[in-house]
Amino acid sequence: MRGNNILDKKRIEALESFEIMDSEEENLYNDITALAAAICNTPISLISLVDEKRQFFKSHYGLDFNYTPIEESFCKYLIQEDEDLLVVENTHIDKRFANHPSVKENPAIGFYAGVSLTTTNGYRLGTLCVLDYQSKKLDSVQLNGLKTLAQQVIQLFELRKSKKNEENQKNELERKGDLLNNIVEATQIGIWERDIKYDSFKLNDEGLKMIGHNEDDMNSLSQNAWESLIHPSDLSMVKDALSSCFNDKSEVYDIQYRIQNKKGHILWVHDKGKILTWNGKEPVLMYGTIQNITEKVNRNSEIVRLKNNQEAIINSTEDLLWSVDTEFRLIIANNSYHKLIERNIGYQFKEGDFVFEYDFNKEISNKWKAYYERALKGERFSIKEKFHDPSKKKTTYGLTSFDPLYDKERNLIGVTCFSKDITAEVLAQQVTTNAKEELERIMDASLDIICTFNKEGYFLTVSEACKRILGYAPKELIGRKYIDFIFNEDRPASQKSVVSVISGSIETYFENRYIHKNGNLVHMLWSSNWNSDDEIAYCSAKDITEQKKSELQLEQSERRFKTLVQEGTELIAIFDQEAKFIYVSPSSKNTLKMSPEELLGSTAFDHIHLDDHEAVYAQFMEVTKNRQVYMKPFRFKNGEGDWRWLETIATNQLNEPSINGIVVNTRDVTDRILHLRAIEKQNTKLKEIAWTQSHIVRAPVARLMGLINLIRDKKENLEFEEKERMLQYIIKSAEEIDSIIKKIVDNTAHTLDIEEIE
Amino acid sequence: MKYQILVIEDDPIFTFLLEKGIKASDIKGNITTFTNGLPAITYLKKEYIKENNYVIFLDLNMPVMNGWKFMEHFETLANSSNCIVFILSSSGNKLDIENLIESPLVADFILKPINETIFKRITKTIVSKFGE
Repeated sequence: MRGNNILDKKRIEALESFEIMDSEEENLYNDITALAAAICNTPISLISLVDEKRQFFKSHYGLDFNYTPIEESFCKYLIQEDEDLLVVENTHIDKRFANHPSVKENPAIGFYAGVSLTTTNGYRLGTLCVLDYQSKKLDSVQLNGLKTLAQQVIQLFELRKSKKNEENQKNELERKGDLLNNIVEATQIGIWERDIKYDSFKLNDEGLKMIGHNEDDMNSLSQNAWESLIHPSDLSMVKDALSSCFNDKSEVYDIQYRIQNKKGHILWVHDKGKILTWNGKEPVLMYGTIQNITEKVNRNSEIVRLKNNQEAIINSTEDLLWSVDTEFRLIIANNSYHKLIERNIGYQFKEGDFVFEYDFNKEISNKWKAYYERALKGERFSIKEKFHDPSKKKTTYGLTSFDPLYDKERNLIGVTCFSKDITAEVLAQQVTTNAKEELERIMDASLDIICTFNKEGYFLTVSEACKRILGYAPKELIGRKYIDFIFNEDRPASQKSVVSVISGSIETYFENRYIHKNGNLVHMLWSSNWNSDDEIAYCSAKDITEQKKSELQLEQSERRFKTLVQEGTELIAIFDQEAKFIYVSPSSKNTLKMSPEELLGSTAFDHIHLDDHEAVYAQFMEVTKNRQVYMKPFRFKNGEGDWRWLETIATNQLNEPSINGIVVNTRDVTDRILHLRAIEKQNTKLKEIAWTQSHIVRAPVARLMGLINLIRDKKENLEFEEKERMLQYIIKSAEEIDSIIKKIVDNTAHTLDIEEIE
Repeated sequence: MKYQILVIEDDPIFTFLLEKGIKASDIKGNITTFTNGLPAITYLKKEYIKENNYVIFLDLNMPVMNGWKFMEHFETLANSSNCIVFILSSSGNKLDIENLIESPLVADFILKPINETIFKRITKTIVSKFGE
C-alpha cells in the first residue's frame, strides 16, 4: 500500500496535483460536512487535507479556523497507520489522543471518527471526519453514510482536477494560436495558399498588407493577377521556378524577386513554398511564405557598395595591405600585395592560401614567418624592409607594420600587415646622410682647417684639422672667439680683414699667425667668404708655417747668394756658344774692374791675350762636349788695361732652359801665377846650382878616375910621353876640383840667401 | 857593317880617354871629334847621308851648343835606323836625361868615366844595331 507515510514525496505530489490546498471555501464541500455532522449527530465535521507540515480544512463545519499545525492533527494517524477508518469513542482514554491539547484543554474533544480520503491511485490525502465534545458511539448506518460522503469528496476532487486540466488545455491552445498570430504579425511574413486546380492564390493579412491591399480589396486572386504584380524582369525566373516545382515533387520553391505594390513601390520579396497536395502527378495545392526583404536587399547592396568602396580604397594605393590568420593563411590582401607576390612567385595567393611558397627563398620566408609569429604573440611593431623586385631589377624599401588582428570577442585571429613604400624617403635620407657624412669626411679629412664663425666672431664649426695645426680639439674652439687665438701683433689686421669679409668681399690669401696650444706661432693662410643669408663666414685656413720657414730660408740663401755673387771675388758669367757674354755677375767690378754692362755683348776673346786664344778656344770647345771643364789660367785684359790671369771652371748648361748657356766661374789667379813664376824661377836657379855642382864637381873626379883606370890597365904599354901627359891631366883635374869647391861654397850661400833661412 | 864614330866632347881629357877606350875595344870605325854641338851639327848637316851609319858619343854639358840643343837639331835630320847616340854625362843628375830618354835615337846613358865593362856594353849595343 502506497502513501502511508506523511512525508512520502509521491503522496505530497498527488496532493499538489489537485491544487486544493489553501483553495477557497466551496459550498459544495460545506454541504458535505454539514450532511456528515447531521448524519453522525456531531457538532463538528471537517474535510482535512494533510501535507508535510499542517492540515488544511477545505471545509470546517463547527470550527472557526481552517487549518492547524500537523502536531495538532488527529487525521494524520490514518495516513501514518494506513487506515481507511479511525473511530475513537472516548478520546480521554485513547493513549494517542488523551494528552492532545485539544482533548485536554479547549475545545476538549471527546470523540473522533475519520474516513480516509484515498485517491484512485491509492494516495491518502486526508480525511472526512466528525468530532464531538462528549464520548459517543456511531452505529453502522452512520459509519456507512460517513464512508459514502468521503467517497463523494474524493470524486469531487478528481472531477475538480480534470476540470482544471481541461481549462488549462484550452488556455494552452488559445495561447498557441495567439503566439502564431503574433509571430506572423511581428515577422511580417505573408502566408499563401495556391490552388493550382482552381487557379486561385490566397494571401493572409500580412501578405496582403505587403502588397498594399487589405482583405476587403481582394480575398483571392488569379495566378495571372498575381503575376501582373511581379517585376517584368523577374517574371520568367518566377515562372521557371514554379514550373519546376510542378514537375518535381521534391523541388522546393525558394526565390527572390521584385514586385510592385499598390502605391507603385518596388519591393524585394523572398518567396518560399512547396506543393503539399498532389493528385497523382498533378499538383493540387501549394503553400508558402512571402517576406518583404527590400530592406535586407538594400542593406546587402549597401554592404556590397561599401565593400566595393573599401576595396577600391585599399586597391587604389600602391602600399601593400594584407592579413593572415594564425596558421599563416591569407585572410585578405589588396591588389598591390597580389601583384608583388605574383612578380615574386609567378602567381597570386588566393584567400585561405598558405602565404609561404615552398620553393621560394627559405631565408626570406623564415624571416616573415618570425614577424608573423611575433605579432601573433600580441605585439604591435614596424620593420623597415628591403624588397627586391626581380622583374624591375630594383630594390625598394618598405616600412611594414604588423598588428595583431582580433575578432569581436577579442580573440586573436591573425595579423594585419601594412607595408608602405618608403624608397623615396630612404633614398632621400640616404642621399642627405651620405652628403652630410661626405661633407663631414671631407671636412675632417681636410689638412686645412675648415671653419665657420658668426658676426660676433665666435667659432661655430671647426674641422678636425685644427687639432693637428693648432693643438686644439674642435670642441675647444667652438663657442670661443677667433681673435683670442691670434697672435697679438696680427690682431688688428685680422679684425680688419674680418670686417671686410662681413661686408661682403671675398678674402683670399690673408695671412696671420695663430698661437698653437703649445705656445708656438703658426702661420695661417686664410680664404673666407661671408654668407649674408646665414650671417656666417665660411673659411678655410692653411698652415703655412713650413712654407714660411722655407721662404725665409730661401730669402736668406738668396741674400747669401746675392752677397756672394755681388760682393765676391769670383766672377760668374754665362756665355752663349759663340763665347758671347749673356750674363755677368756684378762682382765683375771687383774681379775685372768692369761693370757687367761693359762686358755684355762682347765675346770673351775680345779680352783674352792673343797668345792664349788658341788654348782657351780649344778648352771652350770641349765644354760643348763635356759637362764641365777646368780651364787653365789665361790672361784677360781688365778695365784698367792690366793683364790678369784668370782660372775658370766652365759648365755646360745649354740644355737647362733657365740658363741656356755656358756658365763660367772665374777667379783672378794672377797673384798665384806670379808667385808660381817666382818660385819656378828660383827653382830653376836651384836646379842650375845642383846641375852645375853635379857637372862641374864631378867632371874632374870622373876624369881622374878615367885616368887612373887607364894607368892601372895599361901601365906597361904606356909610353913616357903619354905618362907625362896623363900626369899633367891629373894635376890639372885636382886643381880644378879645389877651385870648384871654393866657388860652390860662395855661390850657394849667395843664391839661397842664408840670412833669410836663419 | 861600317859606321862612322862621332865624339862630341869639350873636355880634352875625356876625349883622350874615350879615343883610347874605343881603340882598345872592338869598336871599329873612323873617329871624328868635335869640341861642342855646333861644329858637330854643322858637319852632319853637310855630310849626313842615309846610307851611312853613325855612332855618336855626346857630352851634355858643353859651351856654345850643349848636348840637348844638339839633339834638338839632330832629331830633325837624323833617322833612328842608321844613327845611335850614347849620352855621356859626368853627373848622375836625373834632370840631364829627362828630355832625352824619350828619343828613339838615344841608345844608352853613360856615366863618366867609361871603364872596360861599359865599353863592352856599348860594343854589344852597336853590334846588335849594325852587326859585326
